[in-house]
Amino acid sequence: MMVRWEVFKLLRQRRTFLGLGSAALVPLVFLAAVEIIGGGPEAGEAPFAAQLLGNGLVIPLVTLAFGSVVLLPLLTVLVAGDAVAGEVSGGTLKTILGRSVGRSGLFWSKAAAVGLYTLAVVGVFVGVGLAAGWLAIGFRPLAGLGGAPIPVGQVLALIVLGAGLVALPLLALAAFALLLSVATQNSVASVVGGVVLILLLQLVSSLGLGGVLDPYLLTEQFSAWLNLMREPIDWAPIVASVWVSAAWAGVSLLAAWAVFVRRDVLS
Amino acid sequence: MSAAPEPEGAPATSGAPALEVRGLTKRFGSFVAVENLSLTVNRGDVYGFLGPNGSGKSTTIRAVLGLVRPTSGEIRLFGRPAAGPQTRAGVAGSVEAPGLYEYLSARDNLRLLAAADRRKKGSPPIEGVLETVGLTGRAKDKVRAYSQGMKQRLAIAAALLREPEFLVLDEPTNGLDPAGMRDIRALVRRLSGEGLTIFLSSHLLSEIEQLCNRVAVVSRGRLVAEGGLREVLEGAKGRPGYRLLTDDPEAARRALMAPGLGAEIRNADGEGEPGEIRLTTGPEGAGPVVRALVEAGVEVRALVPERAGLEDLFLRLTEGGSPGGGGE
Repeated sequence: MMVRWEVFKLLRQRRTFLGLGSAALVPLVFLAAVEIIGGGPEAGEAPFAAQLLGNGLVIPLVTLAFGSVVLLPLLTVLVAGDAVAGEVSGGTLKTILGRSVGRSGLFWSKAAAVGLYTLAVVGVFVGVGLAAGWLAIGFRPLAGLGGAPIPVGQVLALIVLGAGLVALPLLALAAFALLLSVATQNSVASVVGGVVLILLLQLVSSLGLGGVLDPYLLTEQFSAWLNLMREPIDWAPIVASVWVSAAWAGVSLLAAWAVFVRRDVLS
Repeated sequence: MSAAPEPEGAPATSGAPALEVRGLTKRFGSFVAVENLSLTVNRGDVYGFLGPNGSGKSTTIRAVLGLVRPTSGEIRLFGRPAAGPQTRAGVAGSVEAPGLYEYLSARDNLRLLAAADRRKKGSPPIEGVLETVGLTGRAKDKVRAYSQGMKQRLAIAAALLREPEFLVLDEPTNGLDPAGMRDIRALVRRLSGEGLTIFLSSHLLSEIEQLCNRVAVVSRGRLVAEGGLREVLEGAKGRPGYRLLTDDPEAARRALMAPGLGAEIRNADGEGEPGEIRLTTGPEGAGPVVRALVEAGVEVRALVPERAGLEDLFLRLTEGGSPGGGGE
């Protein structure tokens, strides 16, 4: 199956490790910042901050909240936008299409490899945050918004679930970047286009321009996981987010596929 | 010619030409890259596809390899209409630059491309094709570090992995030094000797002349000549030219001007080497000229057939009388 080889290609490209490396680095930088602040004289004066910074479980939660705004989308489109465009600019698309693999087979293999990379980015990001928080600070029950402390095991489950809920709109964004990659055949245009989409949608919703469309904007889905932290958990927006992400992904993938199988290869 | 789907690699319709292109037209917007082009490559041919840059060669090859969809016209490979990868069984090749994964080693490129083929048992092993193109020693190196010639050879190795009966090579010696060109040409001869049908595009007439038995010439998307190499070259050359060297050019000129001989002198007295006369013979060739000179008592030092300047010939074919020809 070609998925294996698409993953193999990703693993031989610097771009992939730039993405995964950044995903690993950011939680560590955040932890270092927390450690520096935590050691400062004012630490005792702000009980909320102290409690926040005194629990390793906070590291993945806070980084996920920040990371899902720009960093994770950026790292996702970095590779997804290159998936087809990189082969066009490298002149390899015509080579691979000259073999027995069909265009559809190649396309879905690429889509799968990009999806696996996106999951890996989220996995590395949250995994490094968890590991660093545990090793440097340690885990203890987390003060819930309702007041009662949430046990460590439950927080860990919520973090994993939250990472999954962030991964869904990221996969949808990856699909959109793949569409740009197929349509523009230009890696830079696709990466920039993906980032611009995110920034634009964030602008639309922050200015309240979205109106009734607001819940359907892709960017809105990145915060759906925060509903997990409510007590009791509010599932309705989470379920809605799953559907909206799936719709974005589905439409993008089908459009990308339709263009990919028809398009003349001229590079 | 059964319409039943044939498994990949099944023997092709017996007796059908390796490639038949009928009325191929490809437009990009209002630009016509290829117009009503037809050609036939028979099995065992080394078929030269000659034309200047931008004449539609690569677009034609892309259509043959299934990379672009013809606007109209038909392409058949071994008798089967070319549509989809399964009809390209037995066909391999590349178009324009070799198109290899620069960040992978040569061996990994071949492993990856082999995986993209559904390979039969007993397909040529990767090490075997590396050996064939002489890259075994450098197989671990990233393609990024390869010379142009090594890339061309690796592209041929990648094509050979498919065990092709029909090999398409687009300008395989482009950008190579003389040694690289010699290697590629030797490889083409060897593969042809092993029974492959080869479709070789080039803008170098000398290359086509050295390697091919049949040739098509394209200019501005149209076919301007097709046929056996000799016929096409002779047809384009017109009457043969000669260089005559003699110690008595004056007497020679007089003898050559004899009416009925049909010879034509192309240089003025004293133009060129001392004693050199450039002439075009009549339709019967050199025989009557020599007889006339000997009868006139002119001592002939040499009478050398003049190779039509290859570049001249090429320009004549692709610009001179071609449909739609003219200045660019």
